[in-house]
Amino acid sequence: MTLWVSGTGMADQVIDEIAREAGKEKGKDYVFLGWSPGGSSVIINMGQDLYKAFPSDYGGKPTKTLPVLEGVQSLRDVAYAISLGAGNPGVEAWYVFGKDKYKFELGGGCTGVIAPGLYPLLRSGQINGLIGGLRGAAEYEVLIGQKARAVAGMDAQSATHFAIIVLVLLCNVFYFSLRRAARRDAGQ
Amino acid sequence: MPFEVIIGAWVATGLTLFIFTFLYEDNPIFKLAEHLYVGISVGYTIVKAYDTVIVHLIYVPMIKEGDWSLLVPVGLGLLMLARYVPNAGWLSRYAFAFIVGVGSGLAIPRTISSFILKQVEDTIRPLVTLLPDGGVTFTASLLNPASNLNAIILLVGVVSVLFYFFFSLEHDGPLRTAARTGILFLMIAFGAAFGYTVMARMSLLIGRFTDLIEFAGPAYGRPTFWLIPLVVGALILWSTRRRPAPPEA
Repeated sequence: MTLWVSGTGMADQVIDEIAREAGKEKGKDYVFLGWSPGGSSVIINMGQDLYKAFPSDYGGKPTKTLPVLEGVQSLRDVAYAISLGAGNPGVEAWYVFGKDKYKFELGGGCTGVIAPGLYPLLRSGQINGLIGGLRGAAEYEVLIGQKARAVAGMDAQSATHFAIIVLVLLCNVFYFSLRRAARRDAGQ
Repeated sequence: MPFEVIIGAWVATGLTLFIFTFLYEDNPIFKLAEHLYVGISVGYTIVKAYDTVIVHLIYVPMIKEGDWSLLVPVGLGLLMLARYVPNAGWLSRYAFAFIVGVGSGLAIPRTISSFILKQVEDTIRPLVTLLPDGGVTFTASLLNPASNLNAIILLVGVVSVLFYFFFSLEHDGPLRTAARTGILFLMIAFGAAFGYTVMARMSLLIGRFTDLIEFAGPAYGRPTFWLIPLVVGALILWSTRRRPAPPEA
């Protein structure tokens, strides 16, 4: 399910694609609940009653009739959740309003921009896994033995970071030499 | 290859190239892509919000399933629209008061627990041992190889950064040293955040180039090869035929 409305169609497409690859059946092995309004409060709503937060799935089927959700009443019946996020509400919201309250295990994946803010949660064990940006994605691909687009992108990443390090060093060299020249001129 | 996938590839390639034309200058092709993006995003959001909220969360449960208790949140939500009626604007305060009250009540305790108490605990716990009688003893030792050096560095970082933002005492003497250490830790943190931001932006660029390379394949009808000359040609045409800006008076 999604907390951001704009990503809903893309999420549905990706989940269907992965399920097709894995030979899983919609409704029986997995379900995509779609989007529900309210941001972080949707998580609390799901913790109280999943079917009130999502009366129907993304395709409009009543969630109460789906075999995959048999025995699941709320987030208390969930063993592990994975949040893929690019901002707020995202992984943090799932920890604060989900895991910390309803006591399930949580892992996350996020864009590079927000990854530094999530590493403290990983270190303290508040979340037990994190895919941080393209680097995290590449590490994950190596971990599962399926090197693909993320690993392929790491060469370009490394080259960019190297170029930026060189630029930072050059700028510092210019800065200090200009400052020295200005001081020398002022002394004369 | 399904027809809609091929159409999607052509549209994605075209819009990517349209957006990239901004690298030359702001131009009508870029504006077209920009306006399409905003328009489609807003349209999609409105349709999804209508379908999810009005149809699936209000109409179906109330009318088809007879759950009239939903009238309370619906009424509260409608009160917000009272802001647009000058004489009844005060009614919206009830809805906002409810939202702010519930939001604060839910968020403040959970945020303090998750981001302050848990983080303080994690900063100190590796350095101390809880005694059976409930007491605490400081057990970290640099002479012990099993000691957690990272935890000590973290503790120094946290305390020194807190000192940097502690303005009740003048930063002089030992406090100045602590505050300067805090600045160093802050700079390292900002550097790490900057590095990750660069990585994120580059990832987006890599993603676009990966798609352009993939869509250059014959399976998609080579849209990259066809559209690059078209977009460049359109840009040259626009550039040569546009009127020069009138001189400023």
